[in-house]
Amino acid sequence: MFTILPSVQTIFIITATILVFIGIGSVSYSKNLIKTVMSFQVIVFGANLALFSSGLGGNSIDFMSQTFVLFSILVGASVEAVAFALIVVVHKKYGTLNPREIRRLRN
Amino acid sequence: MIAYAAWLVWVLPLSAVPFAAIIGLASDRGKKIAGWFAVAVIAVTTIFGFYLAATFASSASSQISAAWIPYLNVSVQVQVDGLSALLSAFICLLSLLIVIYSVGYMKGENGLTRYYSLILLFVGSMLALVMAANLIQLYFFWELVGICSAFLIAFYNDKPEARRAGMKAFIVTRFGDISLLIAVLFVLSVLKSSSFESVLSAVSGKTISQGTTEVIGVLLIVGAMGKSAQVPLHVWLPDAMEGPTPVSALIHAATMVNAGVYLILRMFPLFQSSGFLLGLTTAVGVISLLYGGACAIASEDFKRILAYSTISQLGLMFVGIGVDTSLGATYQLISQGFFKALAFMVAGSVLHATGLRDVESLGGLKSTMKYSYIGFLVAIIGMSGIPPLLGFWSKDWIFSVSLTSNPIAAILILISTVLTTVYGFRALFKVFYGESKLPKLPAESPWIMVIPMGFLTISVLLGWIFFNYQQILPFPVVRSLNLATVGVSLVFIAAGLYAAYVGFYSRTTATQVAFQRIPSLISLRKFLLEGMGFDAMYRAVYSRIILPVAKSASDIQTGELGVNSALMLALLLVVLFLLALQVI
Repeated sequence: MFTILPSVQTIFIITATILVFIGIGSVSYSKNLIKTVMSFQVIVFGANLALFSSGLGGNSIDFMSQTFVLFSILVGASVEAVAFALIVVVHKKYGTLNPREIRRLRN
Repeated sequence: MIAYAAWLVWVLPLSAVPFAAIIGLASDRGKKIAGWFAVAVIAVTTIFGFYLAATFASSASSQISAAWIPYLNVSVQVQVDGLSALLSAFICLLSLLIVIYSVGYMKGENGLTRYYSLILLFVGSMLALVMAANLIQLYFFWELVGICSAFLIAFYNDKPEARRAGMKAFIVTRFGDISLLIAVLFVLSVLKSSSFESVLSAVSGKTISQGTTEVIGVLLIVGAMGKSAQVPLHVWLPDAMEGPTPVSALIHAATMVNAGVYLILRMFPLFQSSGFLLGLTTAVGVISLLYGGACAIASEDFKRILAYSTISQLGLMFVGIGVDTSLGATYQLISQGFFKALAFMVAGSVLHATGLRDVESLGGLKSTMKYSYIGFLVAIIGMSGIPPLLGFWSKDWIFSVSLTSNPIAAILILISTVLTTVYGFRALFKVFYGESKLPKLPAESPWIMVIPMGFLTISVLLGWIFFNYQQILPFPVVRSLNLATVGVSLVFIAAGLYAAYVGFYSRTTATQVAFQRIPSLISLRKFLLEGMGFDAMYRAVYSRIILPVAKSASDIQTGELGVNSALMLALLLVVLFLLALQVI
């Protein structure tokens, strides 16, 4: 996989992969729901970067992928807004933001 | 015109489904019209079906296709040949009669919009399944037929038994469906094409090995066993009686259970090329033939008797395929459709009039429900194979062929003839003769239910004249009857008739006493009533093996977000590592 010379596109994709991994790692580590949502956003940024870099190959720039990145950023922002609204409700109901203490799915 | 008819015959009912829903949901008046809308759609479809059958009376075949998934070399194809044209006409006709019947039967029920939309979807999917020219398309509609039947079985969704029965039908047929899916994928990976034509030409041209053919054949047989309710995947069919009776008639006569037999008939040259596959089909058929017959004798539910009878009759079709007479099996499929639809309509008429399904608490209905009585008499005479009614010709065909190619199967067919006669006439004597245990004898059903019954009665009585001499079937039916084989089966039918007459008409009390006193008979009856313990066996497998495994698997799930996402991260790292090593 890493045998090709690192072009701009490759660097972007490697960065995107690292971002996704950092995001998932911090989701599993974070003890605060607000930080969890921030980690989700890191994953989304990684995905956006990968999508953006997919339009860079070849001689011309593919504007379609950039349009979709914009679209994706908008969707990500609204998802974040909904998530924070849910967090407010969770805090009102449980009095805590630690996901380990909010375990209603299991027993 | 042929091209249009071949598409419209299944596109029309499928595209009418949303309209039926809209009409029914639009207003209260629409709920009453929804039934007649379904009747009108299926009537138009029937015209197309008959047009196809009339045009393709010879076995000429043609294919018309349009691209669907070009990447996988899959297209929407319809195949018009003798088998598909004949079956589409047959399905249309029976569905039309059953839907007309259900307008009367289901009058005043709740949820009629759902009912008629599902019926249209059910009939349309079955027609599409029959017209399909490749395995992927067939599989798609095969699943749709299964889903529709599960929903319709669970139609009375305020009854827990009905919901359970629908779920059971869905889960049990799933085992067969998975096998068919594997077969489809296997064919795709070997041949890069899933059309019947390419599979059959590969089999006849020996471009695939004998072993591959047999693997595909076994997978197809298991798939057909699920849909066609063959032992041991039959357990859903007796429970499916919880659905409305017109649905039972539709499942048993026109649509669902015929799909499995159709699949094997469609792939018949593949089965013919291997003696092992033919033997396996015969074995499956013979077991179901005897199993269904034996359980039907003990059953006390009018509709369950007919359900076990269907298992038995479908077994006979499998035997017909196994002894290498696909035409005999096709004829059996058609005649079974007619007399089983009639028998179910009579059962529905009795249930509609009395509200009872237990044959022990019925009796003496002969005097007031004359049309139902005549209909049931004709249906079971046809079912038993008494000449010259519709059932006789197909049974005699399969029997005489099996006599030369597989004598053991022939002997077992004779035994099943006795069983068929006994359970058929037992139901007749219990329901229509004897002392009535009801406070007041019910009146005959409304005319809208009697007319389809009358039409089917005449079809079973006289249909053989058209089928045998008018060349309606796409194959020659006029065979020289061997009087010796007819005589032998008549002797066995007479034996069954005598046993039923003595046991359930002239000396009923003696029979009852015997089945209450003699221990071996008591345990035999219990064994048969429980369907030979298949349900208990599956329940034991579920509670002893599957449930503990599922419990221990659910312990892995901690319910903590951190642990779950850490596991996901670990899995992603492993995948990335494998990618880096270029293993995948």
